[in-house]
Amino acid sequence: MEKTIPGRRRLRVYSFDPSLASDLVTWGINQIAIDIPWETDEAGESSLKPGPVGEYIEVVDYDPASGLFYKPVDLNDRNLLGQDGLPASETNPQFHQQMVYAVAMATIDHFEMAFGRKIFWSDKITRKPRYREQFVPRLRIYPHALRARNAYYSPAKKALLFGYFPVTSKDKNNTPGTMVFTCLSHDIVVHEISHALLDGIHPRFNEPSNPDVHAFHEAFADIVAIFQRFSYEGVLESQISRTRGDLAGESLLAQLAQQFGRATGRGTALRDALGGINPETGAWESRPPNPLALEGIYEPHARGAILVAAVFRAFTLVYHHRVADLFRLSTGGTGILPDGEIHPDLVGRLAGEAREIAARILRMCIRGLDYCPPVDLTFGDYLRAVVTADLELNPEDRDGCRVAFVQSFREWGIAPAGIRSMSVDALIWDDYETAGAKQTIRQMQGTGDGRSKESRPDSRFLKMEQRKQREILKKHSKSLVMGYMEGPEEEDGPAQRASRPKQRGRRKIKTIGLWGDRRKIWDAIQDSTFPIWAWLNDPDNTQVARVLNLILDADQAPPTVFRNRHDNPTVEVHSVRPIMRRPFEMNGEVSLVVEVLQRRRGFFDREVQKEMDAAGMVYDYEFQGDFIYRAGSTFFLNPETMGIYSVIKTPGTVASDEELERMRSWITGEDLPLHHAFDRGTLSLDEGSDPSHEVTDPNRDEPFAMLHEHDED
Amino acid sequence: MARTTRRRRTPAAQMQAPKTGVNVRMYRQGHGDCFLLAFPRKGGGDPVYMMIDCGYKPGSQISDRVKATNVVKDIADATGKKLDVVAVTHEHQDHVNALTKFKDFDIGVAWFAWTEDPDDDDANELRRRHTDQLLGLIGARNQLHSLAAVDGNKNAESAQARLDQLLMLELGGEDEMSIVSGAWLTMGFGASSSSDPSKSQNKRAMEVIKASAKRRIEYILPHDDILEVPDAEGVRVFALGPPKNDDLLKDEDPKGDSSFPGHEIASAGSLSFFAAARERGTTAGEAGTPFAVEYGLAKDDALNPNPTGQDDPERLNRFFGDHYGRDDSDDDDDVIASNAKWRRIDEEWLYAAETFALKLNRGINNTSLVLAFELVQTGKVLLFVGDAQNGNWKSWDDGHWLEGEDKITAKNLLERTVLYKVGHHGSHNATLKGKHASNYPNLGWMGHGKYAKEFTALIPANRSWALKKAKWNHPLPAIKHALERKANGRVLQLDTGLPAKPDGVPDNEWKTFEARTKVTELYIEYHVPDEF
Repeated sequence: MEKTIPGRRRLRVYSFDPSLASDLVTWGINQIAIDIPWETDEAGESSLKPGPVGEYIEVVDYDPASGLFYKPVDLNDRNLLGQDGLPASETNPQFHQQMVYAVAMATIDHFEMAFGRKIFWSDKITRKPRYREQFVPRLRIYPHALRARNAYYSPAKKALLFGYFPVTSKDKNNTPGTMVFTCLSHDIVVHEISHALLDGIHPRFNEPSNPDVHAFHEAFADIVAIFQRFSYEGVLESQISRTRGDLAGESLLAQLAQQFGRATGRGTALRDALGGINPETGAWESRPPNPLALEGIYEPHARGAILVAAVFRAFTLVYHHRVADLFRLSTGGTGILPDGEIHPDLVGRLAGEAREIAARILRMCIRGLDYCPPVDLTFGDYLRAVVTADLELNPEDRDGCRVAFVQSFREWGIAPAGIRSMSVDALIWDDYETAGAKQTIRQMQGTGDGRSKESRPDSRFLKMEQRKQREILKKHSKSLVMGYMEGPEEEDGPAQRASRPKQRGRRKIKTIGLWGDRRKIWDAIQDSTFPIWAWLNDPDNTQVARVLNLILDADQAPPTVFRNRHDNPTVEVHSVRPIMRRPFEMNGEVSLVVEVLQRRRGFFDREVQKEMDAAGMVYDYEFQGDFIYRAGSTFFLNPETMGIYSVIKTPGTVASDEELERMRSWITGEDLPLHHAFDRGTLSLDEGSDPSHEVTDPNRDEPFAMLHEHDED
Repeated sequence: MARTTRRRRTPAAQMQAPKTGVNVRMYRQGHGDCFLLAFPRKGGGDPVYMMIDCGYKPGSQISDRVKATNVVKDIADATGKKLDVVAVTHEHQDHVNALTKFKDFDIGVAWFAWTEDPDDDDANELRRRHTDQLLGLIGARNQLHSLAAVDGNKNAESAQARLDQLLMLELGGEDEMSIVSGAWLTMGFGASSSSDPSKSQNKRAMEVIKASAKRRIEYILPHDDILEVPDAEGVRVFALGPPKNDDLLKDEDPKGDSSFPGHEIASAGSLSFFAAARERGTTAGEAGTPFAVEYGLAKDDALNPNPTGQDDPERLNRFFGDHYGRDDSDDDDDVIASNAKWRRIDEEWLYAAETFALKLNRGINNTSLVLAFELVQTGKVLLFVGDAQNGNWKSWDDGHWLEGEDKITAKNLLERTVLYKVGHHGSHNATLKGKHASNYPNLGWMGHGKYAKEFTALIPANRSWALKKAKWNHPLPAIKHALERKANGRVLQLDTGLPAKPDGVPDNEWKTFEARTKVTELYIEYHVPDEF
């Protein structure tokens, strides 16, 4: 008899948090069963172990404040299989284990579906005695790690830590003496795991080189939490029924924002960004988009909330656009609903539309991550990333999602630097040859004397220059096709796999699978990093590197730029990820997202920087400044043809004094146009932290621990 | 400088009062506050002396020759050991620890904020919470201390070091951090080991002033009667803070909707952070646990390689051994070990103590007595804010004074401010930024009209110590720059003395400033005349 392997596992979770279970209006939807992948081994048997411990997640329930380990739940127990896992319970820690596992897996599933590939946690990096990267198969989840109103992702431990605390204040939602478990809040779990997933893609998005970076981390995690919740069947129906399908009235949004704020205990930032109580009417009203909202707001949650509001507005714009016909159909063409309840069929259709749009928006937001610069992200960059990614995935945009994004971001005053207009086509990242040609043109304009013909470029010139750039790349890509010999180990070279056999010949880019065994994919990525690194550090390829925002020429880089033993500025390859850019073309073409960066020593004191950058200065490789300034790009490489697509650059090169200065004044808190507080900036004052890994957080190596304290410091 | 030549027959060391206005000394005993004010006495005679705070962070001295003892000796010489008024702004080490050296001073009146009043119910409630939290934090700190000692755990060690700086602010005393870090902390640390909350060294130091105040102790309420400095000519004092409002004391940080004393952190429940933190050395089960006992395995049992007594003990032990671990596992492979040591969280929960301690510090900072001294001829104001933070600042405008037809408001006083004692050593949340038009007290309200030309700031901070040793960004560059812009460079910082003249400041303006300022090794003295 043939085995029938289940495709999905159903597990019960709280859709909000336990407090709603005791509210008559919400109890019906508070406990839901969600679908997650059924994890199997090669033989097709369930590979999920007690814990739960699966392919991606290991739940280890240790409560150090109480000195106890809690017994792991076995989700393959037949009694649990027969009833969608344990019923929701605050008093059974095994349900807590089940819930964090289920919600984490649902989030991972969303990410894998959006990317079209397996996800990875950020590598474990060891710097001493030698630089080493290790594969982290599973993120660990500690559901009861802290006795505090806090939960956070720890990049250092590759773990999520959830806290619990007794309620002491008395209000209508809280009873003193009862316990609150942050691991039972759906939104907190999704928020934290989103941090971990984002860190797996962009480990350098922890470096707050501008006010948007930390804010983005927070906003992104909130966006995933909100839209993932919308994607569950049954959650939206009752609310749509109550608001009579009207998202413009925003009472759905109001509730959402309030619940979110209360559940996460993170204060009022999100709620205030989305709306507030009108003192005249006493009713909740959504906050209209305000193009000046970002001015003077630097606290990461408050600033991030504005990005969330912008994405949420894009969602409501598309929703109202899409359901207008349903309202007309159900009202004999007027579109004006009669008083009273709306028909359950209409509720179902509206909720279905909302769910679909929510899933689409979530996919856009996740997929955009591949199209971001490697460091120093701004909200404007993110808009360009989302729009470019979506254009490649879905060129038609029949439902107008891209337009809605652009409209909403414009209305919220989020604009990328240096673009000519806020339209979809102007936001698309440049392809390689255009990026190169533009660079040539800028250089000509910068140095042009206004007399030579070439100083006035025209379309013909641009075309010529684009062709030239293509030819240069073609010429230089040959060496990448040939591969590179392994030289003596360079201190700045990519980490070598411990278990990789020594290779005599040239090393080439390997085939990197999208799906399959994550360890094998990881190995292929590690092995492919070397030839790309060697290629971009090869001084012969200066012209290609230039287009990628890299400087290889020793003379063009200030002395504080990190150099290799040939005295050339070094290029680091931070990421190589496979991506199917245009799956609809069905040609199976897998490209690589490559992130490359250069480093420079920055100093808190402007005068010291000048001294350190005086001509002729030479530094030991180990010598660190006060902070690290990074510049480079993300680009898309076709490993078959060695063609390069979109080039996504940081604002300046590593030689840019202006960008270094901008970063300095931000992190030292020197120049902050703030509202009523003098923000202290993000200057790290912790001597103990690893200077080459300048996570600018005084609370050991935990950038999110403080950020997530209930009372933001 | 002209002022030093104006000496009369008096002993060289005596501090003079000006003919009009006031002389203000900022002593340079280290990172902390100690101010001595000399006013002309009504009807002549020796000046009226008033001291505001006297404390420092141990180890933060700017030089070996400028110790608290040197400073107190100088104050003794300057005043003939007679202080008409001593004001103590709040109960923090860096404001009070040197007060123990004033036992043989003749002190007239002592001024404290209402939060010190033993007959005030709100004050007593604040103190009770403060003590509860402090005991819990000391427990957490001592647990970290034992972890740091046993494991050589670097994280625990640096967490303890940072926590010690914050806790010693609350506990007080003059012990250097090297002594503190090697010891178990108690309430009465350094003097005599004690768990009696009334025995902290801060409390004892303040007690010295209370005991010595001959005439009386005044507990000051904001926006209450206008105060007199007894016998001083031409000055009166308006108290702007701390707010007599429990809610405002909760708000220490401009960004948070946070909670001072109270709420989640002071819970008496057995499942709170503080309950667990205090339970040093107890075994599991005695401390509260959040779930029924059948789910739990004590740590020793869970990680014991030869388990007994559990149902299916081997399976559970294998699980916890494989996924948490007991020994230092060796993982020199491309994949991390499943029970790697670096993923364990035994002490992680204790790190929350630092956040709780910061909250506590901010809460106490907000109990700062805030005084505006008005020179009656010109209306010039000297503003001494202690370490007031956001919640305290915001409350200044919650009341006003009526004088016949005239209404005197906080804005009014701030507009006339010519000397601002910068709050909390220039930290990020103790000087509010804003505009003159803003609806809350802020730097933009200060120094307007004819008062703008004289606006000067005093920052009692030792920046290099703060940055290097305590890891505090004091003063915050953004605040210092804002002050320098506003004051045309007239910013006197404890560690650096007389600043250089910035470009573009007229010579005569700067000369006036220099003539009013006297910098010695021990103090920086600044003269505010009651005339234009």
